[in-house]
Amino acid sequence: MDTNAIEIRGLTKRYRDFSLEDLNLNLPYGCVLGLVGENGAGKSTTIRLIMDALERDSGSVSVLGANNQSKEFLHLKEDIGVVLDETFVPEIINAKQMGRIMAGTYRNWDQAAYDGWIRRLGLPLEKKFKDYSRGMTMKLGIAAALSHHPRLLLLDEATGGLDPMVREELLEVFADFAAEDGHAVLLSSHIVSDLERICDYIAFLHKGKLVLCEEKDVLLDKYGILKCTKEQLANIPQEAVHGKRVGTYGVEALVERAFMPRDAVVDRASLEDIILFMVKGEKQ
Amino acid sequence: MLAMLRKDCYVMGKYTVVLIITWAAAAGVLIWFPKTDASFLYYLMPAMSVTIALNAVSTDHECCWDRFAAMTPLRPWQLVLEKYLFTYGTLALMAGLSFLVVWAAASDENSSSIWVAIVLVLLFVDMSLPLVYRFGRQKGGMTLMIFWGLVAALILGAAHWNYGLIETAFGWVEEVPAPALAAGIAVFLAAANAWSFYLSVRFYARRQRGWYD
Repeated sequence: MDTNAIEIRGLTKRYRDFSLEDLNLNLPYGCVLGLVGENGAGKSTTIRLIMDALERDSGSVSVLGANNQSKEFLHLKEDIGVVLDETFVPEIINAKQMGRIMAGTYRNWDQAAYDGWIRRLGLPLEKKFKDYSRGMTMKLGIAAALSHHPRLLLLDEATGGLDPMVREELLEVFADFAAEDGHAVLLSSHIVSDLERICDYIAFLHKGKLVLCEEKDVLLDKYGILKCTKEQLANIPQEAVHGKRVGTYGVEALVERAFMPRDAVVDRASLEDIILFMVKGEKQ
Repeated sequence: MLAMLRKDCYVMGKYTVVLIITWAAAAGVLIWFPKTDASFLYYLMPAMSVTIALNAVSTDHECCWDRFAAMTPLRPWQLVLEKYLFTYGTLALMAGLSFLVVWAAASDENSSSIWVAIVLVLLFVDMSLPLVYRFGRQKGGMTLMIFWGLVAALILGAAHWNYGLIETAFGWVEEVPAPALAAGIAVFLAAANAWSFYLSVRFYARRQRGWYD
């Protein structure tokens, strides 16, 4: 078996007003990759391109060992569970009917597993989809995605709109899923704390470009927050500073620990700090 | 594919029930008031089945089902074929009910008018589904209206200018024996359906992959 569930090389998709440029990404088996970025950064586009549900301009994508434009990939779609950011169920349909429709869509459909997820997530069987909240919509999508025994989960903002308790439970489910042999999860989210909790790798997309893609622990070790004066910051090597915030009493800067003098006090940076500084922090 | 048929039955179920209630009202008029000049109802019922099919297509598009379907193992041709089968199914149901009314009303109206309606509906479906898949419900509908408007203007204009032209164009139909005419229409419809299906799959696959975004 290959080591990566997803391999993306030089993937480019251009629209009139947006382009996803030269994306290179790996998702190893047994891991959760968090795809983070602002609205319109290209997260959903990336997921659609991974599923070959969108025409690409260049690049290649391999999913579960197959080129995603090959015939083999059409069969492999059975092994991929997808939760989309948008609602996709006709509003007149309820969870029970949804199960019957999915049963005819996926050969591996497990009705008992679906019923179990519906119960576990507290979804009403007879309630029509038009009366669902955003959180319920996401739960239904997740229940459907998990009920055909996929090997790969692609989750586009799947934890959005969920209450903290359910979110916590589902994050555990995703982490457990990824830990199974031959499984992997790609989770795109705005909620960086969710990603920090369960992801092994973090990919950060900004305006269609991959700003960073690292192992989460490496990322957290690599960067830190330095609190100092403007004068002190001026003495730090430029390549060490990845963003700064100037306040009344001094400066906060995102720095690379490796370049810092031994006596410098560098605080731990959260994933959210790293991303915010990189996007919004004024570069030195 | 059966799963998708099931979905469309769920989605269009209420709409179909409303149509059947309308049909029942029309049947009541035809059966209890046989002297009423309501023969247009024989054409109307099969024609109404077109709206079910077009609504099923636009519902899929509006709720982003198409975008989700692209992530599943279902192929574009399967999804499009299902829509054609669903259309034929609703047409068969409505036409069947219309034949039932003719029989129950013991009407003077010849059931051939229902066959004419079926042929027209099939032609309409053959034209409209590819256009809806290509341009969406609104633009597709407008394109179709413009096309039929031009056809009507052409025929009426020709009739006004020289009625003999119309007789030459369509007069031969009356000369052809009924079985040969029926066979000819069947072959023509089969070819039109095949061509329409090919175009629909092509347009649907392109729409699914964001060509028209």
